[in-house]
Amino acid sequence: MVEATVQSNGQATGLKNGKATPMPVIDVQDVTKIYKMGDIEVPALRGVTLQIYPGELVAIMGPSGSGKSTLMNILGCLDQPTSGTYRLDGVDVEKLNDNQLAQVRNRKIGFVFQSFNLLRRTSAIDNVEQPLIYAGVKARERHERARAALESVGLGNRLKHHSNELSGGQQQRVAIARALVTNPAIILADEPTGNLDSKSGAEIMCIFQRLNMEQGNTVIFVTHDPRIAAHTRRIIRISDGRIVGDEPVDDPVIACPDEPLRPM
Amino acid sequence: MDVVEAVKLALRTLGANRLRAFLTMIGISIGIGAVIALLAIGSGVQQYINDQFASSGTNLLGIVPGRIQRGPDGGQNTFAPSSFLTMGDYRAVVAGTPNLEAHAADFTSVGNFAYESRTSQVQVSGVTPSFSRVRNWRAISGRFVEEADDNSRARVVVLGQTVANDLFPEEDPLGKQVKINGLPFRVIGVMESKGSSFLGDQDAIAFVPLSTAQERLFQRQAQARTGERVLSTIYLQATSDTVRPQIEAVARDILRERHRLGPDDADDFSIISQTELLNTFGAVTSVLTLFLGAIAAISLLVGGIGIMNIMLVSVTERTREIGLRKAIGATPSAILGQFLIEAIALSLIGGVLGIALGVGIALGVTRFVDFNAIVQPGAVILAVGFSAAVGLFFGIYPARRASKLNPIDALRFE
Repeated sequence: MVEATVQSNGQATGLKNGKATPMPVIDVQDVTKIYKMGDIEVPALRGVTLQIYPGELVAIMGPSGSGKSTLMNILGCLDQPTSGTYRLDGVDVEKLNDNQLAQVRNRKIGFVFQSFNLLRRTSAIDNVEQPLIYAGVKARERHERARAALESVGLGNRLKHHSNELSGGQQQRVAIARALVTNPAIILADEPTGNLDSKSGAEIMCIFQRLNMEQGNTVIFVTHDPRIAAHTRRIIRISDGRIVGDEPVDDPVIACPDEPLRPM
Repeated sequence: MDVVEAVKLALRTLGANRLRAFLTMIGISIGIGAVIALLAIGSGVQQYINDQFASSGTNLLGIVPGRIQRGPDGGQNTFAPSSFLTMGDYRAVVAGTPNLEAHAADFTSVGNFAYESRTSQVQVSGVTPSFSRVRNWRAISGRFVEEADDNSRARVVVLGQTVANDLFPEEDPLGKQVKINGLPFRVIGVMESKGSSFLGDQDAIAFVPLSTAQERLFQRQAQARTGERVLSTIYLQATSDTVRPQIEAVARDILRERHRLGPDDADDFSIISQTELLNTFGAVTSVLTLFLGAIAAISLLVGGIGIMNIMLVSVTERTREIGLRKAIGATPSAILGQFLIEAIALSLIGGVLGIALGVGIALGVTRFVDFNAIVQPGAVILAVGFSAAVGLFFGIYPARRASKLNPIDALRFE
């Protein structure tokens, strides 16, 4: 079921930086999310409508308690809306069961977390291969793709290193490679520099910008940090479960120090 | 996620926590080891008993006076012999029963042996010469009782190994004269050793001619009220196992008629077949083996609970890993499979170690007792299957718990 829809669409829209792309990769219509704490209903999202197009580099910003985490969970198919619709890359997510959601997460979403979440006592390349195992990719191809992904984040010489032998910045790069390796429709990054010093943070942001500019990946940051948001080209502000601002960034900060970014 | 990947992953995870995995396995290993060792020892004892019976002659029926009856608790109660088996009974049974390979009779009592300053109280059997053949028991030196001895009520004795060793620790007993109940006897032979068995020391015995026992040694005891000479046992050896029931029936009819028993009277003698005894002992040892096996299985249960415990700890510890796996596309069934396979791998490896342990114990026991513990392939297969089942059973709950974790909560878990 999901399979068919996945293949009918894909990221074939081809327009990377355009604002008038016909098919948004994320299409959220009037989504609400209400948590029940005993008898009390706590609304976390009060009707969010939002579109993100392929190739965008977006920050979803808001203070804690604003609902941005809830929104991220829904965008990441880790949670489902109470009402409203969410189409991810053409798939109606709210109709899917647990197994189908797992498949959508596997094929269409790459997660990058604040705390990296690498498997302990596991080499970098094995970590990156994990999503491909769940996708049923054969060992040899898996290995090749994982290596390519690690090379693209500059860790081609650290394939066999275990996570505890890598610095924080390197660990986060492994996590980015893991997110990339399935060639997902979107990369969802939750405070990706939150646990890093500013130098490593800048390196990470550079990688995200390069992936976006050079390879056309759609990257969505969820953050409360204006410095991260400043690296994107669009900032969506959320407060009290509603979108309160959505504007382009006129002059994004470029994180990569030396080489200029080459837009595709 | 295919099974090969899942197994690799499980082994890698267990390998990452070697000490814990090993300690958990030990529980299963001890359980499986105990089951295998006890089943092996049980089979060994069974085999030993079978051998003991086989060595006492094959296709053998024994007729003894008195009645052996099954008590209300299913056990056997022996009635004190209120009747006798006489020489006349013996002759009549032998004459009237077809398909006899051989037959023998004995009269057994206890005699006081004396040689020089040494004395010993020994079981003495007066036997027909055929006894040696029927019981498959021969003289190792000298000779056994012969026809001529019996005809002449000769005062000759064949000593069992134990008696020979007791009375003649440093001499060859052959040709020596011993006194039995004060009467002088010449030692004409020494029996081969039968060893001790569950029946006691079989070599603590001496043989004299039947007529000598009845008419010289134990005159008073060996006499029925009618004055006839009596017997302790009549042995009938069937030509084959298939005719044994027929022989038993014919002998019973003859004896009932001779003892003038009415249709409603119970037998005043008992016919014991080797097979029957074997079955009785077999039943006892099977129950014992089963019982010990069940106790061992309890330790397996404890081992299983150990696995469940460690898997629950593992699920809690790895909550974030589970959350991450779900985020990158693991379905609930993939998570379930992962933890289940870990549990099964744990108990299977434990089971294999347990088999080694059990075989080791069985071999060790064999070195110290005079029977061989037999490790049966069936027990090993059973043990492997059982340990996998233990892993499956005790792994399901923790694995289900892991598979049902909400990925959001799991990712946030500290």
